[in-house]
Amino acid sequence: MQFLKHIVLFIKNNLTQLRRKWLSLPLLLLSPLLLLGLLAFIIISTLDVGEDNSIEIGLVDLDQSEETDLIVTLLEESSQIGDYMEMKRMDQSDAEKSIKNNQISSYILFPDNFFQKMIDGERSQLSIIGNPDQPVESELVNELVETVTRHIRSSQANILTINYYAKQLHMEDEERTSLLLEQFVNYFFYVLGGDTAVKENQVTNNATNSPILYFSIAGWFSLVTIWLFLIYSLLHKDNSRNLKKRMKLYGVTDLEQKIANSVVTLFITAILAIISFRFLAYFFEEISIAAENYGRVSLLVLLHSIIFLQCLILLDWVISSTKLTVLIQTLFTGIVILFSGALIPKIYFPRYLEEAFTFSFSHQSFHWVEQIILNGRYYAELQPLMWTAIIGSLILAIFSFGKERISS
Amino acid sequence: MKDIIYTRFLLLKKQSFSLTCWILLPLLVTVGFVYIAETAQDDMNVPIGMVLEEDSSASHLLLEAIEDSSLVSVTSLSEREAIRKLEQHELDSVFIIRAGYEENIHNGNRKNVLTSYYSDRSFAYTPVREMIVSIIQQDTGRSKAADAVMNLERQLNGEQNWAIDEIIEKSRQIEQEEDLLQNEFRYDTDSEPIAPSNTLWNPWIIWAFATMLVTILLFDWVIKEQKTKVRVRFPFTKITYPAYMLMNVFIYLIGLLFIDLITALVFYFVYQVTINILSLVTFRMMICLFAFLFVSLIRHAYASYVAAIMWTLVLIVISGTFLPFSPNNQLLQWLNPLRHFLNGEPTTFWLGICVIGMIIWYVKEGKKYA
Repeated sequence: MQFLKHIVLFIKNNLTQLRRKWLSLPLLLLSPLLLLGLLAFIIISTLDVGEDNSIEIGLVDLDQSEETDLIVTLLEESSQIGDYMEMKRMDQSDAEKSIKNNQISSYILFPDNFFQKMIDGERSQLSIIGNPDQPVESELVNELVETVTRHIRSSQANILTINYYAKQLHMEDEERTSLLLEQFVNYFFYVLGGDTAVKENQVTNNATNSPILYFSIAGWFSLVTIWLFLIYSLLHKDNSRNLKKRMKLYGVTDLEQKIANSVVTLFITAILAIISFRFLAYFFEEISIAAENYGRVSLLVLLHSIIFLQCLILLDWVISSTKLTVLIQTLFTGIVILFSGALIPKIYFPRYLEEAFTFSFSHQSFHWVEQIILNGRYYAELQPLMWTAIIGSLILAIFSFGKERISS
Repeated sequence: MKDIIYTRFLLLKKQSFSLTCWILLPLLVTVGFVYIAETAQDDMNVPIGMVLEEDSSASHLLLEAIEDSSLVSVTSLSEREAIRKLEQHELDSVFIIRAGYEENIHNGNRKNVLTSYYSDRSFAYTPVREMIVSIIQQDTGRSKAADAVMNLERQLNGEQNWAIDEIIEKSRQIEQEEDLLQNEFRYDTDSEPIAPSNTLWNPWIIWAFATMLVTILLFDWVIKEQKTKVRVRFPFTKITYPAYMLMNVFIYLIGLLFIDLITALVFYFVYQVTINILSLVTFRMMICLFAFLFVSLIRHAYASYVAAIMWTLVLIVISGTFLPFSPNNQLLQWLNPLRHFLNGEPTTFWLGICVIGMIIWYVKEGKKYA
């Protein structure tokens, strides 16, 4: 009875404390959303730059041989087929000037003796010089050239093979070079046509499978976890030693305070979670959940929250330095979210880390939340989570008992 | 000054162990992060399903080549089951080797030799397809080369009688042994960014964020000492409170700079990355002043810890470190105190702001005791 009385007292105390923080509270709770908004803003403002016009690329030929001339011409012509890239031949000073004037996003540099070295199997290198004012476009060009050189590398080995055998057949130098060039051009087009090797089909099983919906649910789940941590740390109190002593005389234990904190945290998070979920359901008409499944989802999230808070309390007790506690708890929150499989789906993790998912309470609850909301299942495995929560409570009780013993 | 160093030493002696840990934390975090990120990135795998419609040596060779790749982990299964698993998002994508594959490859024909299935949640489909296509390209390319050599022999009436397999083997050998075409990427600027290409994660970038956070956490002495009862006695000492604080910041600065030099040496020997000393020193000065002002503005130690973590998260977001491209929003870049350091330049703008902040703080504190 005394135990409950203390808890109720602390709950009241916490609520008044929160009411006094009416200004910082919403700011703190919105901070993860603001952070997300900031991220979205940066991505959009960066991607927005070159969306409407095509990417302009310069081709600088320092080799000036017949062969590179042909390659450059081929590139120039082939770029006119697609509509998002345009390549133009220019000399180096023009290219540098064009970058300064922000007219091209990058240029590709064919160095001296490029082709001869390639045929001889000596080291030759293509350089891509990017425009610092157009980073996204430059990266795109780099990616493209990287793919092309990867293909050329394997073609090059073949051309060198042909060269090797042609030499053994005592072919004349001039004739051999023209044969190699012919083969090179041949391979060049061969590489460009590689996309036809695979016939592609897309599979969709039902309407609720859009990645946006999946990530919205995943984001909501992560957000609830972050809110739990934020509210929990907001209720943290650095009690002075005198106060602690006095509370002890009244028979108050640390466990009672932590339980009160958890109840308040759960209560406020529940309100926020319900409001944000209503928002989701408003934006996505696909979300249609039967009444009994609402119960399942809330139970899953509740159990997840309880276990998460138990872990935070344990960390509080185990680590004595507050500074370190906050840092470790933040890290722990990150790990819990990562191993829920919400942000990066479980299948993409390394094999040996998949083991970790069987121990992850956040994954157990998120997996069933996903199954219910996205796949319309009418079932959730609650037992493992319940057992974890019960064991967690026992550990906390034992820990608290031992703690009070030691300090008295 | 000597007295202050002595008192600071007495204060720190009691917590020397935890202090050492905190000071070395950025270094340890960086080493740990780079290690974990690199192994995890190597081990990240994409589960794909392979269906073999043809039981030939060529199709098995392709399957083995795909299995050898570190990008994917392959499960062989029937078409129906593969598609069912794809629908349940247990596989990223499914590739089917069509019947007649071997014959097509030997003829150098590669049109539609594979069929693929992917869903709208196949995040890694494109790189996997690229990889498989390039393996097929290699095989068909070699057949093409062999074909060309055979033709040549016929034309020139040679009598060597080379075998196709021999030519294909030669091409493999050349690919492994010779120094083939490379490409490099750089920006058209004078200042080199501090990112070298031999490690995927530049340790200095990770270190910059870690040290920002840890320095703010370390500066909680400002709050603690503001609240102690000793403070009322400052009017009776020969040194004023703001001067005392300033000298202590200086002591921390020197100590941390020393650790930074050690860090630079460690990074040089472990990762072979160098750093511009001027850039490092100005960055450290800015961080120390920044941490002091940051903590002075927030009166509670616990709140300052939470705020420091939040602030670091904001910095990570606006620096765009974990984005595949560098953001170019000018305003946000100016607001980012780490920008100069990450670009390998001396930190000037934010150091100026922090110095101005310190002057304002000094004048304000001075007035309180006047």
